[in-house]
Amino acid sequence: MVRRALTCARAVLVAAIVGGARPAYAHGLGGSGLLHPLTGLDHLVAMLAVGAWSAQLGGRAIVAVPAVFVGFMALGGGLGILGLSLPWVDGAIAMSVVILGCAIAAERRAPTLMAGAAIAGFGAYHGFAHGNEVTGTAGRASYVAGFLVTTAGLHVIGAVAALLALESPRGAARLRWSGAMTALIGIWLLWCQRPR
Amino acid sequence: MTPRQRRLWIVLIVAFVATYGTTLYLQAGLGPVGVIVGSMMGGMVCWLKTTAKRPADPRAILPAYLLMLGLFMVHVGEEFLWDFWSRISGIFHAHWTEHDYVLLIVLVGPMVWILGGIGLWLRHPLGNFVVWFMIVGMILGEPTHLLVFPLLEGGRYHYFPGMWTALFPMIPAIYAAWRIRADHRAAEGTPA
Repeated sequence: MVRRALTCARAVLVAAIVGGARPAYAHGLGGSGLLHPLTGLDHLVAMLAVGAWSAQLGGRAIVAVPAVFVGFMALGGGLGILGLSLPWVDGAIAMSVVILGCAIAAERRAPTLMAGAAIAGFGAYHGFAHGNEVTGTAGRASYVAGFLVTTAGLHVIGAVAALLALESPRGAARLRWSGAMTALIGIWLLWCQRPR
Repeated sequence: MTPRQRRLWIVLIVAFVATYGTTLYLQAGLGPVGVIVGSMMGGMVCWLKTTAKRPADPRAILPAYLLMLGLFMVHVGEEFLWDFWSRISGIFHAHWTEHDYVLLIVLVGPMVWILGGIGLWLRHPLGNFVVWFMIVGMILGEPTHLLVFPLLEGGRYHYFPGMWTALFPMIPAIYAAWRIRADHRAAEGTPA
């Protein structure tokens, strides 16, 4: 009974987050780089998923995969600030959520190098989106530093939460389910971007 | 809880507090961050010393916790009716809008606190941490609201949104803190 209530509460929480993250609110809480990764559902879920996937891979990947993401994010952020263009940015970001979710759900062990290479492209796209929306409220360097710090924080939260989940007897299965839920959120984000 | 799990929980809470605290600082300024982050860190210390070792008895603590949440929501209602966000933003020169306040304090906050109550019932570590965070927040934050915030605005003591109901949630919070500590002391020396 109580476990059903908890499941319902989780479903309501996810529904509220997903329902509340309409485009108008997606990045609506502030102009600073620190806030940017936190106030868009696409970025928030992807950052947590990168951490969770790195923990699932284990070994050096726990540090290497998020580090590659953050590094390429800085690169993408620079491109965005310079005003260069990348095709299908929002779609690629939503797709990164789908793929990361599927990777966690599938729980396939990938070599760290391969995982890092896969994650580099996602990082560049997320960084580009942040950099492209730079505002005049902060210096550009501090803006980039802001979103990199927040991203690293979200990676740590995702990784440690996944490590804690893996400590429990049914944690691996729960982590896979959370990956499936992440992929569903990504599909919903892709659906929101369909041509109208 | 194993030592490894204990370390992981500490890292998780500290990472969350750092990320969330930075966000809140940018939105609401130093005062609210000091109260909330201070409550989180104080809650973590109390949790590590008591219910991290042995989860609280939900039958003893949950009624007080739910009463505390109810009284806190009354307090939030008073804040909302008298434009707390604009007054606190004025004091700390922050840019906290009504939308931000409603999203964080009226929507996301209660969801987390209710999940904390469910976690308390299930004897989950995170639920026990959230309970301690709320207890410390009520005991430290609400007197600050009553005594300090009015003085920060204009230098004289006057009505500040939320102050009439600020101390009500503190009463069940003090009881819950006393009860958790008493139960923990009584259980020390017996297997977890």
